Amino acid sequence: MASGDLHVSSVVALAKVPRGVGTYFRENSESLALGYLASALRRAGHDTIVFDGALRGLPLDQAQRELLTLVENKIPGLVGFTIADATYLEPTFSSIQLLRGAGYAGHITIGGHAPTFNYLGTLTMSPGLDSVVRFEGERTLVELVRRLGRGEGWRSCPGIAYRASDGAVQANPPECPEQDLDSYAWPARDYLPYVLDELRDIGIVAMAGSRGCYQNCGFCSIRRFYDIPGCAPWRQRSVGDIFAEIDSLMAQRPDIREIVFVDDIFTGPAGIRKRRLAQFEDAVAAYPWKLMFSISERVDNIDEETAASLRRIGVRQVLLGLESGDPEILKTMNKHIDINDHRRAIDLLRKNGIDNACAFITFTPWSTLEQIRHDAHYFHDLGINVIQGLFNRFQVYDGTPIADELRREGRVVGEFPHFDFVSSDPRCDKAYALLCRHCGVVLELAYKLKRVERELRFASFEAESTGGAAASREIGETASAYWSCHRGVMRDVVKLFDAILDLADTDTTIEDSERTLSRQVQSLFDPWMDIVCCFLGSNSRYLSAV
Amino acid sequence: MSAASLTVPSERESFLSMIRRLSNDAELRSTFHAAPIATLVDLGITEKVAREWVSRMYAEGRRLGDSFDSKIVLCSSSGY
Repeated sequence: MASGDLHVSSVVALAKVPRGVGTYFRENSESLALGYLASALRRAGHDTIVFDGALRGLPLDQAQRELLTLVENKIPGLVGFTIADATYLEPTFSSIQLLRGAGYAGHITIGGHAPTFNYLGTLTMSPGLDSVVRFEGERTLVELVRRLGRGEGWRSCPGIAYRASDGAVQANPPECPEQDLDSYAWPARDYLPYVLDELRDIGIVAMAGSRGCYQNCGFCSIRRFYDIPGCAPWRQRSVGDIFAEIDSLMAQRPDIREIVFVDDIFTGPAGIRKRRLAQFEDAVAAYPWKLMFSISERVDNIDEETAASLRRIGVRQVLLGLESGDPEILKTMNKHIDINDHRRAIDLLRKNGIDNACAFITFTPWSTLEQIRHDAHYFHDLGINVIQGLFNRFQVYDGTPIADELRREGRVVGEFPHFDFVSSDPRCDKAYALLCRHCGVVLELAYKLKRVERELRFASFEAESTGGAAASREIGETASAYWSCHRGVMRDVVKLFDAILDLADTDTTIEDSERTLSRQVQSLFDPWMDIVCCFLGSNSRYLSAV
Repeated sequence: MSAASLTVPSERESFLSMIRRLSNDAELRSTFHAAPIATLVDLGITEKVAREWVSRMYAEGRRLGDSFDSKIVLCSSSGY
């Protein structure tokens, strides 16, 4: 029997394996993709096992060994992999090779943005893979498993890409997914205990209140992932359904302190924003839980009323996509925001006691050294954590308008999944190379700063919830000391960044520049690391003791 | 349980004062990095408390090497 046609078992295994590279920012939440797919399969009557080696922080070889053991013991009829981004592709491909090498003959499929938009590259790079589930997976995967279970022709399943008998890769048009998000089963939470018990300091409970996006930023594939013919590019769950899921989660684990909404735009389009936020406020007023929320939002959606409403709901952190401090680059990105929106949104959130986590992209295909320097100082002046933004290099994602545009201009280099762009200004590439080689310690600082800030948010939220004036005052004092440290770190980060840009603007080789730079990084940031570690080490005494 | 009930106020205040001083003085930061306990004692912290703070500080030490992957930075910008 050919690979992919075997259906000896009604068991389905869904898996996520870790990235092949180390990162300071380890996985800290359940994969909602795996959760939603698992619950859809279970609702359809399939015994579904979820294996998340990425969340568990396993080294790749250990994750692969455990997955192999699971597959050998349970002999699932289908193994489905999810990838959160393209960095997961190669470890997933090597996992598939391992399963095939060990004799697994069931169907293997994969889903996610990169395989959806580059199914040709995906199926070509992984000969052991039978199919790609493109776009939203619930309906397609359940149908694929149904066909495999009944021995029906799976290659005609809508929404998949596959290798035909002559080896050519083909794709079937997708069916419109279910438009009413409330009709989906809530995501399976197999790893909730792991997140809460094993990742105490960093674990987050994620939730989706909507899917898709009604904007069309040039660097992002989300709009195209959801905007298939006949379907809305953005759909929302009802507030009632969201809070029913929260109730269910809290009944399982009353110790949940925070929910992080993964929606790309939490409040939704202007036409419904006020009504939706009012519904959230009513729901929060009616429920007995004290829960803190973290969300993502566009800067142009934050006005006085929205910021105050977010505060009342319990939102204490908002991720904002600032993207660039250059109006021309913002325009090229099709972001449809004005740089004045940046400061206004940040100020309004601060006024309402809401932290920001700002994302922006420093190294773009259109950047010049002078523009990058301007951006660094511009973002620093906003008083935000600039570290990750300064280190961000634009990624060429398949399925995005800008990737298409860069390809037309002949500016995309590399092979799937390692695409890169040709810079307008080669000095920027030199600056980026210097950053990559020597400044990882600064990223670790960013990670640790975020952990301190999170503890401060928890402490502050709990103090205000319990009405403890003394505790609130103490936490305010601690926060004040922390922010003096934060400001100092950011000052030195920008100082280092300027030094890197200076070096990139000379004829000095990268190798010669490195010697100067490594001394500077060490002398500036080793002491900061000590101070931030002092804060973290003293958590139980000075931060979260409410 | 309140924050105040868990901490000795003077110790807590000393800790925050130390953070502020270190944050605003590059030379003191270097001294602290080279000889943390001695620096804290010079700042008036008892040796017992200084040792405790420094041992917690080292327990939170670095985890990985110095290189990084840009794709991870981008994808993790919202991460804790």
